[in-house]
This record gives sequence, C-alpha cells and structure tokens, in this order.
Amino acid sequence: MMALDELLIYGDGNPSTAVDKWKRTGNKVIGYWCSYIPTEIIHASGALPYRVRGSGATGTDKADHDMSTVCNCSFPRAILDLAYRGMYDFLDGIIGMNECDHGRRAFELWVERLHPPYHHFVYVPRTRKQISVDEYVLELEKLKLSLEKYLRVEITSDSLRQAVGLCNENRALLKKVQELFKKDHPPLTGTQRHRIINASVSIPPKELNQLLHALLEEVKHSDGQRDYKARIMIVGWVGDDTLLHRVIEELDGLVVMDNCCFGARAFWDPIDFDPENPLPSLARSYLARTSCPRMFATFGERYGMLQEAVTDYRVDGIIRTRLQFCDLHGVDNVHLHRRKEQMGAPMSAPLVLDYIGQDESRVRTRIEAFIEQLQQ
Amino acid sequence: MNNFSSKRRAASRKRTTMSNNRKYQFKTFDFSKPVDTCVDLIDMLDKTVGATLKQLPESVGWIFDPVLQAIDELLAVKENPDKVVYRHFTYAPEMVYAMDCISFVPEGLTFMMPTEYLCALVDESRGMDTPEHFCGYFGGVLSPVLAGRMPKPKAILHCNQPCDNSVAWGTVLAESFPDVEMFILDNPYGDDEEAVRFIAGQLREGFKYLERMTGKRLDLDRFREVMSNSAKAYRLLYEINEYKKAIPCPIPTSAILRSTSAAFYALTGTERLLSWLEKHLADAKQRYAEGRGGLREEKMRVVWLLLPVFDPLLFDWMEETFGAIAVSTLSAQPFYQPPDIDYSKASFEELLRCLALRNNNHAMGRQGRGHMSTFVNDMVKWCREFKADAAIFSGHWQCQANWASAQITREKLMEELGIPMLIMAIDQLDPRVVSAEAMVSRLEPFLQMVAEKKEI
Repeated sequence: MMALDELLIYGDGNPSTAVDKWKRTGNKVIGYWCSYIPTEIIHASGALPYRVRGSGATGTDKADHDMSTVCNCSFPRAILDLAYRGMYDFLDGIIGMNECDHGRRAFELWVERLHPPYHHFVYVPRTRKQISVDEYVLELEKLKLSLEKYLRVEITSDSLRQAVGLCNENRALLKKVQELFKKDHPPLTGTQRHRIINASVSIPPKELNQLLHALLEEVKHSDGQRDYKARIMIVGWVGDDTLLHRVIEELDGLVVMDNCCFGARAFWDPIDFDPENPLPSLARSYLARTSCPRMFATFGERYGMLQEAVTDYRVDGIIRTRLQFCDLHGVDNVHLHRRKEQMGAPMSAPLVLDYIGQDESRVRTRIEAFIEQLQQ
Repeated sequence: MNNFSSKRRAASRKRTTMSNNRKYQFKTFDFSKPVDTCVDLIDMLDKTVGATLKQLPESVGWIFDPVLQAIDELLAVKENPDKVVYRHFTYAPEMVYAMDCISFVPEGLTFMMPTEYLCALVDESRGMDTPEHFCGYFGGVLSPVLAGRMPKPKAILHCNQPCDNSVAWGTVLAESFPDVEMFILDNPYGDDEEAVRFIAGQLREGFKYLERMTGKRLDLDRFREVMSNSAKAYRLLYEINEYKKAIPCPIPTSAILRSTSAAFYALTGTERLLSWLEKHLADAKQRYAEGRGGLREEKMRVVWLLLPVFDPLLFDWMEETFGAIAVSTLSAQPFYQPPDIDYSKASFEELLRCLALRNNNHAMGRQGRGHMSTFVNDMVKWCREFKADAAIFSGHWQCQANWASAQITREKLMEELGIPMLIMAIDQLDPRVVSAEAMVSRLEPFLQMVAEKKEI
C-alpha cells in the first residue's frame, strides 16, 4: 500500500487502526484534548498520545444531557458523546486542560461520569510572562510525576530528548508536506493534507516519520492538482472533520493553507529543547509557538502569520469560519473584519458551522458564491 | 379522591397566574425608536438611571446606593483622565484603589444602562461580525471601545476569569488601545496554596506595572487601608448572610441582591460601601428582631444562579404570586474569607496574599475558571445554608462554563437536599432573547410545583 493511502486510512479512523497494533504490543494509549499538552511527555513515558477527536460521532444526544445545545460547542460535545457511548474505551487514560470553556467542561464531565482508569488535568497559562512559564513548568512536572506513577516508568531527560527529536521530525516533515502547497500544482489536495494531519495525532511518531518520508518520495513526480479555480486559505476552524475542505474542493477550490488547530498550527513550530532543562524548555516552546486565540492578546501574531501565508501560498481567497459558540475565534473574526483591507486577499463573511455538519447545502451555497466572486 | 388532593388543586386554581390575571405589567421596551449609540454613555447613565434612583425616597433609595456609587465613580473617570485604569469586572478593585486611581469597568456600563441602549449597542457590535453568542456584558460596549468612544486608560488590568469571553475581550482591548500596555492576570485553575502564590506573584508584578504606567508610587498605608476596608466589607456581608438564613428572610426586597452584586464586583475597599453595608446589616437585624421579611409574606425561598438584569419586576411577580423570595444569587455571595490579620500593620507580602485570595474568590470568577465542582458545591452550600426550597438556574445563554455544570448541579441538589432546580435559558441583559413574560411561562409551572410540594 502506498504511504499516502496508509496515512489517509489512519486519518479517517477514530480510533486509527494504528491503535490496535499498538495495544497488541502491550503498550498504553493516553488520550489528550489539546495541542498545548506536550505530547513529548506522554511519548517519553512509553505510551501513545492520542488526540481525542469527534470523528465518528453521528450526533451529540448523550452529551447533550450534560452540555447544553444552547451555548456549548458541538465539537467537544461530539467527543464527549463518543466517550459516553464507549468509543473511547480503548484509552488507558485521558489528559485534559483549559483550552477553552467547552473543552475543559467536557473533560471534567468525562471524568465525572466515566471514571477513566487515569486522568490528569494540566493548567496551561494564557500568557507568556516568565511567572506563567514557571507555573507551566510546575504543571508539567505534575503531569510527568502522574504519568510515571500510573505507568510505573521513569521519564528521563534522555527519553524526553528522544521524544522531542521524533516529534520535531514529525513537525518538520509535515511542514515539508505543507510547503508542497506553495507549488502551482500541489501533488495533494487540501482534503488529503487535512486527513494526513489527523493521522499525525493518532499514530506512533516513528511510524508517522517513516510514512511521511515515503509520502514525500511518492509525490515527487506527481502531476499535481490542475483543475482548480482558486487557492483558498481556511481561517478559524477547530474541528478534525473534512467537510469544509471537501466542499471547497468539490467546488473547484484548492485549500492550500490554514491557521487551524487540526491544521498548520499543529506542526508549525519546532520545540527548542534543552536537555539540561527539559521541562522549562518544553514549557517555553509550547507557550511561544504560533498561538491559538486561547492565548491572550496574540491576535497580532496570528494576523502576521496569515499575511505571510497569503503571500507565500499565493492565496486567492480566505474563508473565515468558526464553530458555533466559539467566542475565541469568533472575536478574532471581528479583528479580521477590521483589517480586511490590509489582508492581501478577499475574505468571506464568517461561515458559522456546527461540528456534525448537517447543513452541507448551506456551506456549499456560501462557498460557491465566494469562489465565484473570486473569479470575478 | 381524597380531600388533601382537592385542597391542593383548589389552592392552585386560586393562585394568580399570567393566563388569568394581567395585573402584572412588566417593563416595556421600545426597540423601534432609533437610539444614538454615540451618546456619552457615562453622562447618559447619570441622567437616566442615576437621576431616577436619586429621586427615590430614602426609605427605599438606600437599597440602590451601590449603583449610585458606581455612577459617581464613572463620573470621576471623566474628571480625572490621568488616573483611569481599565479593570476587568472580576479583577479585584482593591488594587486600583490602593494606587489612588480610578477604576473603569467598561462592561459594568452594560449592567446599568437602559436596555434599549444596551440592545442598540449589541446590534452595532453584531454589525462588526461579533458573534451573537459573545457575552452581552462585553458585546454591549465592544463597538464604543473599538470605535474610540470610551475614555483612554492609563493602564489596563485584565484577567482570564471567568470564561473565554474574558479572553476574547482582552483582544478587543489590545486592538483598541495598542499603545497602552496591558497587564493580564493569569487566573489559576485550582485554589490551593500554590495557586495563591502564583496569583500573589503576578499581583506583585501588577503593582510595578501600575507604578510604571501611572507614574504613582504605591503607598503601603493606603494599601493597608483599602484591604482593611475590603475585609470589613466581606465580614459585614457574611454577617448579613447569617441573618438572611432566617425565615422569613429579613431583606426589604430581592432587588437588593443586584445592589450587592454591583457592590462586590466594583466597590470593595471603599468606605462608602462600608456605610451601605452597615445600613443593610442594621436593616436586616431589625427585621430579624421583628420577625419580618420584605414587602410580602415569605412562603418559599429560592436561590437564583444568575439574575436577569433587565427587569427587577420579576422578583415582585414571584413574591406577589408565590411568596417566593430570592434569598441569594451567585454575584451577591461572599466567597473570599479575609484573613484575620492586623491590616494596619500588615506587610506588603501579607497584603498581597490577601489580594490574591480576594482575586481567586471573586464571585463568578471563582466558579468559572476552575473545576465544575466549585460551582456545584457552592450552589449546594447556598441552598443548604439558606434553606432554599428551590433553585433557579437562569442560565445566561452566553455563560458556557456554567451551563455545562447545570445538569450535575441539578442532580446534586436533588440527591443531597431533595430540592428541584429549574434550568432555563435567558439573556441576562437582552429581553429580545427571552422576555420577562417568557420567563414567567417557565417559572410559573415550576414555582407552582414547589408550592404544591410545600402545600402552600
């Protein structure tokens, strides 16, 4: 099987088929909620970090008993629903954090209702002040100790160094995949890229590296995508689902870039690891990376990244989107709207979606109109 | 058919309901008239809300003094632009008072302004792509802040509690005042000693920041005085709350909860607040001694989570129709336990620790930033202590963290105290989302059920 096919299969499954293989070796799988949790610590413990996703959810009925459809985001509701239905029973533990109100509460409800064999909450600061970095270091120390106790292992500086090496290689290779989209005719579609990113958070990093190396070889001589009308950047989407990418590309757009959570932000910045100070260097790197709106007053740097991306990826149009009830991305949209003239590419009006997209026809209509506008 | 059941049915039929008695005329709003959103909001508040409250007779007017005090502080903002410090509503005001600066809370304006203005400003912010689920407290001032129609601060004290809306609001302030460095308090998740140390360390930096931004030096004696006043204020509120546990609840009206909310969000550390609390306490003591409650006979006791702000007549309706007295609400509860120290001699570090505890235990901040058990346990505690017959979770529909705690809270209340909790969605500020009449349609059957259970 080609590396691309393997990656796409891994990315589509939840759990990915890699989990079964992993568990048969007797190793543990620890779920985590957000990319601000250093997966290197989990890797270094010998467990497979598995980013929980909503993929596979067909509704949120069970989760809606505890979380409100009036104001709670459908993405964590979908994840919680899967957990309530036993779809995450393969996890040997779960790590949550304060990424946003919805995710935080969904994690707390998961623990309260399901009593997983292991759970841990990491408080991640929202600023980069030294005192906040120091606090984050204390939190990572607690996480490390907690994992060591549960898994009966020692997480050494060396095991962390190795984990960082593997994960940084993941990031570098994913960035190389991303850079393919600078070409006039990228060898992959944006949908495929997104599915590869989903795979990257659910399979062992060594295997991911092997597959990404193979993929980059496979696509070297590809003719690439030719039948597209507009190069599109997606801004603001949080989910792992591929509805948006698929619809854009069915309408002859090509998604070349994003600033999304299950997207470029996941791999954009390598970790600057100091083996003499492993946890402080992890803490600093994670807080310093290209930010999510959960980090305070960092809109300016996200805006800068978008402006650069417009130039680097020759973006024809930007689709602004967000999950319904996401205040963090929602208010980012306000600032984007105010700076739209300086962006360098036309921006759509905000496309507000629920995670389990029953309203594909609405999405289709909006995107079709936007792409037509771009062509005019 | 037994007599007991038919007595209850008869009582239920006699009770005034909206369907058969239009005695209650809730506040009416006219959203058809255009509103000048560029009006000076502080002046407008003074001339509308302030003027109305000042006309009330002293026997009733004293209840609203915290609101008048807040308006006076807003007027001081205009007169002393060099002292203005923007402050998030869950960032303890004591820090600003200690620096002899003037605290300005833009979102506090939405709490007080006439509803038609608030709605017009919310609509204006929606025209800037603000999501409809962005909290109205911030959404109501987003457009004037971004458009430069608010006073420019010397400094900005911000924090991330209680919720994502606060984080998002921080970006608005950063975009609106790019040349004013912001100080952000990273509120912790926990409440242990480490969390207190983390906050205290940041507050130490916060004072240095304020000194740098305002050009003033912190006067330790002034800090002592402010924290002493703050401690007194909390102790008075605790004492008042002890009386409120009595049956009937010795408060003049449930509307006093709103004044208490305003007081403890904005005015702790001031002497004027102490005067008001002493009056509140004296009133409670007298009512208690006389065995009386408010205006109407108390037949049941209710704890509200978040009060609808736009129409205090809802309380009148509840009291009149069911004898249901709202004895407590989240924002009128004290959570900060002032340390028992000699504030007149306290060291800077001791005072920082007090201020850290104060910040960590700010109403709503405390429940929003941490684990849901804080919210759940607080609700159970209030209902137990105040001998509530029922709880009402009138969830502000933009209050996401609390909404995700509501169901568990309902279960715990039934499990531990055997009392029901009504969960209903409202917009605390905007009656266009859920009007008072619409709330009544949810409250009525619920309170009727509680009344029948109590055999009222």
